[in-house]
Amino acid sequence: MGDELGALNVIFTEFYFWVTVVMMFLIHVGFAVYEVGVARRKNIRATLMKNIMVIPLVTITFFLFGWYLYFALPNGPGITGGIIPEAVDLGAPWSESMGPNMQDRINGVFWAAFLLFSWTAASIVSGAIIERVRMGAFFIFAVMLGSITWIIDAAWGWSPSGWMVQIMGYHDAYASGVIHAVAGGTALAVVIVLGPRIGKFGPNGEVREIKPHNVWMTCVGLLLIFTGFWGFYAACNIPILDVGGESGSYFSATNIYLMPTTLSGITFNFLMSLSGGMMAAFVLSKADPFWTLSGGLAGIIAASAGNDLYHPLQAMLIGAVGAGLAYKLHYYVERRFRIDDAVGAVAVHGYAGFFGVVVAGFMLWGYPAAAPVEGTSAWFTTPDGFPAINPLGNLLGAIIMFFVLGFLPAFGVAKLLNRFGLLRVPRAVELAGLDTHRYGNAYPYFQSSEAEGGFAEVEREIAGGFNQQVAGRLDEPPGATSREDRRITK
Amino acid sequence: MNLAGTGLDSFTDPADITTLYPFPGLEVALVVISLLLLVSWHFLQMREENEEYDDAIELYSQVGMERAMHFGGVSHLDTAEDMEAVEARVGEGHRPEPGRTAEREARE
Repeated sequence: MGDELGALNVIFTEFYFWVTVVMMFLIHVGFAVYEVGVARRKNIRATLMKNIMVIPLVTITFFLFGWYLYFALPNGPGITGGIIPEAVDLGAPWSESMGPNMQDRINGVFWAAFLLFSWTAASIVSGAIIERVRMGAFFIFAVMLGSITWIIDAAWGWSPSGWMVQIMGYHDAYASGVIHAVAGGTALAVVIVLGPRIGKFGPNGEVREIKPHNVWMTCVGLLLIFTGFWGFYAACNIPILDVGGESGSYFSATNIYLMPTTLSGITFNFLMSLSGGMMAAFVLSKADPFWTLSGGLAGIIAASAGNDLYHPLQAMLIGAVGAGLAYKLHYYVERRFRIDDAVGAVAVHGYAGFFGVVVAGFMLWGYPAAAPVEGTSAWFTTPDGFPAINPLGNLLGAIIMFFVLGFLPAFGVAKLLNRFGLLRVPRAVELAGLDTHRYGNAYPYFQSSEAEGGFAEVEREIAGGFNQQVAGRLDEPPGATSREDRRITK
Repeated sequence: MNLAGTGLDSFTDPADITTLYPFPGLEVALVVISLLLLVSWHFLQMREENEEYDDAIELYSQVGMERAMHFGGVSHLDTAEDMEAVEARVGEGHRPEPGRTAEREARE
């Protein structure tokens, strides 16, 4: 900070990331509004509290160990090297740089930018499992995904020195895989073990629609997510860096891998992929507002892996295909496997994210992924000796994100929680509503609607099978069973 | 005199200043305390949630599921009608309230 130009650069970068964090907060606001809108009236406040508590829980755990993992694990460990010793200075919670320090102006804002990605990852899962998951179980998934599994995948595939980048040439500039696919995989695992909401599927496997209590809220929530997504895109860049190499200084914005891009380019592509997704989803869903906006989100996510380099029309087309895929797969999986994803999170984030990573491997085949790290050798290299982006690396990368780091750990933890009856709420509580015994009516000055899309009638019939008393009397428990229901059944 | 252990009683030479927070050297202890508090919080939250569901089920067994699901579950169970139903079931001297049942009162 001795000279004015150097100080200006550092403080500009500090301020740049600080602003992205503020913008990204809107993603969480959007998720909260969206989830609450989807929830039925009897579950509003429990849904809200479940989502909101992501903020303190993931923040504290990301401070205590998440940030350290990002710096410590780019080598695996055991794949391209061991645990990075310098990670202690950068990310250990007792490090002097993890607090106000006159010799460090960047660490806190970088930490916060990554932290907001963590909140996003946890929120993605939160929506899929509403109206029947225990809060305590969700809090464990939030910490696991937000402060452990996603940040491990970021160390591996979202860092210039990560082993997936250096060996496989993995490229995922705006996190189709490292956030969305891993969160989608986690959500899928949890909804499989958790099971559908009571009454979602009829006795013959027919799918019943459970309508949102407020479609307006879901749409406004999604629009807020779009707004925050701008901040996310900005936060994935280094705003100014010398990328000139041997030919002399040349300053540019870079992607997360320190490879050149421009803020102009990503602005084109963000909006074009959003638009492509919305256009496709509008047609496929027959102008359904919820799915049109979700399609926009899926469009961005599908193009994000390569949105640092695509042409805007390529981004638009990839976004359109990604949104169509998400929409079709959501309903296919729901019908075929009787999986109840309340907000379509697995499809919009998981399937579209997976698709986006795979497509980027083909579209950007041969581009440099990152500067090579000494001692590593990539499967494919550019003429300059840089690890090259390629379809195989990105396909395997997508599998690692969705299944290895997303699905598998969450499936194991969900099974463990269910073993102790701590995954799902008791069925009587689910039927009465998660708010009923604790919070009461969220809209006390509005007349109640008995209909709730006719679904409340289905629930009353099911409750009738409870044999006068409560819980434990259903023939087939829908998925996970709570400890309370097991006790009553015995 | 600075009692915070940083020796910071002047900002006239900022280039030589490192950490700004008070009591440097206690970072590891703070981390250990925070981790213990975090784990404890999870246990307490889960225990509280378990008790909450126990109470809810007891209440619903007293008022009946039909009442619990009144208006699709959006009506709070604290009306006089609900209390009468509870009274009728459990008899005199035992009047658990929603969210605070006799079992819980005994535990507390």
